[in-house]
Amino acid sequence: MNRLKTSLAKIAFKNPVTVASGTFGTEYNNFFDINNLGAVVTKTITKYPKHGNPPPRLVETPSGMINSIGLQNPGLKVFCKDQLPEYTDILDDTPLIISFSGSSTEEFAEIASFLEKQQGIAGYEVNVSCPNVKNEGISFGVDPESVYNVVRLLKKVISPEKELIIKLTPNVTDIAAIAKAAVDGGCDSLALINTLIGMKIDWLSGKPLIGRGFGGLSGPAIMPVALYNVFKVAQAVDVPILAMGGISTYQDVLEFIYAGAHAVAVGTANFMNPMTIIDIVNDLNDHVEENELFIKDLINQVDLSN
Amino acid sequence: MEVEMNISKKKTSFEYTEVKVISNINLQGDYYMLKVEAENLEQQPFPGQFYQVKPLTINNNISGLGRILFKPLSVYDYSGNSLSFMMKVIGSGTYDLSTMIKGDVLAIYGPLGNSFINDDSYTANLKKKKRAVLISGGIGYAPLYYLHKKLLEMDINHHWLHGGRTADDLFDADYICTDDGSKGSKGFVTNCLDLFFSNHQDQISQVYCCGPKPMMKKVYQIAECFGFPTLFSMEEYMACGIGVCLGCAVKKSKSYCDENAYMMVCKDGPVFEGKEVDWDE
Repeated sequence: MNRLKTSLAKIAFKNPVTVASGTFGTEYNNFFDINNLGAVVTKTITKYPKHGNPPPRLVETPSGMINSIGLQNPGLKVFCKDQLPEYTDILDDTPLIISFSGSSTEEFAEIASFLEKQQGIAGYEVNVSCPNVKNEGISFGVDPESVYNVVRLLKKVISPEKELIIKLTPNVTDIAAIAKAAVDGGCDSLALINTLIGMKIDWLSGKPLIGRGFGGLSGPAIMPVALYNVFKVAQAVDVPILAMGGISTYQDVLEFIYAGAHAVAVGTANFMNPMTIIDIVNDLNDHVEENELFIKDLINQVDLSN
Repeated sequence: MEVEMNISKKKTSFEYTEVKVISNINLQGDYYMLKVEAENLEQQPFPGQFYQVKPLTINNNISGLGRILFKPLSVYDYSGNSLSFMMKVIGSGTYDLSTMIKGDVLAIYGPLGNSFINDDSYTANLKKKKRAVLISGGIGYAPLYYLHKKLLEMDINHHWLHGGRTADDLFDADYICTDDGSKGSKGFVTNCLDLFFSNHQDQISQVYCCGPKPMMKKVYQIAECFGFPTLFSMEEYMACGIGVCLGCAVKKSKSYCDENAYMMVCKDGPVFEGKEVDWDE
């Protein structure tokens, strides 16, 4: 009996634990068999190769870190030729979710069409936290209409058995409004939260410690914010949520499940210790076995009574 | 067939383990020598390689969540029984490491990255000429010590120049100098390079260097004038150490590759040929 079983709209998970995009790769198979994870999410792929941002690209902060990598990746074609087979070779029945991003609505659809021709993909996590070149460079993810348009178009391109997940940024006034736009557009599920924008300055020289001045804050420091956002979105929409933001223990996972998550992603904690994620899976299993719980029964069951 | 597949899938090139501190000695100033048990490490490190390390206990107390990342530390020495890291306290991460005591537990994975010494043909080539030159500044001494030891084992003649800001930054070498003149010659280690290279022009097979970036840039420029091949051990902030986070970017030389591309210290380095690096970045 598998008490950890859960699912998004179309992807069945043997356990609720997957990885946050950009914090994981096949390299981790050196440390443990990555088939023990509920699913694997790739780094974000763009249509053309991206060299990434000038260093310094990351800095540690209290209980967290700030990064500004700039979506460095080899581009869609090289990814499909070189990296995708590395994943599909290692993964057996573990679902593979591809993260991608575009600079215009049409480019999102173009990338999805190309990925649709590949084998071994269970779903897509769409990163809408990047600038829309056709909308004055304003990030897709902060504008409900842009999000709606991207999702509408993607829905037409992506085959019905594949999961379409939209990843939301917390750097907005009302994340629930963006979530609703994505659901109205027809997405299957939502992933949240992306990193919070943050900054750190060398107090001696006055220079920012990130090359571009600021970056995305992640790690345990952001978990309470992430948890609230997940709770808020779970109250507002009726699609499964893949939750992330500062998870580093199995207790953190349970908090997110209660707040409304169907599955969770571990990100920065992979850097805190390469074995963290596998410890979380094992500890979570011990917990549900000992207490005779089913993860599915706990989803969105936060107890708000007094 | 199935079994073979699984073995190849799980092939390990580096390992995660938890090791005990044997000793942690304050050498001088902010410099410490952290020695840990190495019996359980399956792989021996090569000179220039590093480990990702993180204290799990400090003074026998469990380390908290305040600091989250591992620190990349170059191998200073390895004996089979023990692994030594020489470090300088710079921020709170190195401070934490400096306060570890005998019996404390260090999480560790590696050895990571490439090495100063590539293969047999490389070392054969080194032996043809008379000497290699090691140039270090401050804590840049650490990775070069393990190289020095290996060069001695291989009977490769070499000369080591080391510079520091003050006497506290000095360690044993063939030539030492300080910025403030408190010990050894006064001035930068790079000041004497022109003369040193001129005097040994036909003998130098390879220049190895690790130190502050401005110093390494200067070493590269001078060595380049003489046409000596150079290898530099570089440092950047990193999170994973295994090529995943893409944080530890170093800009590639434009003449060497397509524009604006970056190399990763953890995976492509930490040792780079001088000509690979864009020193103006």
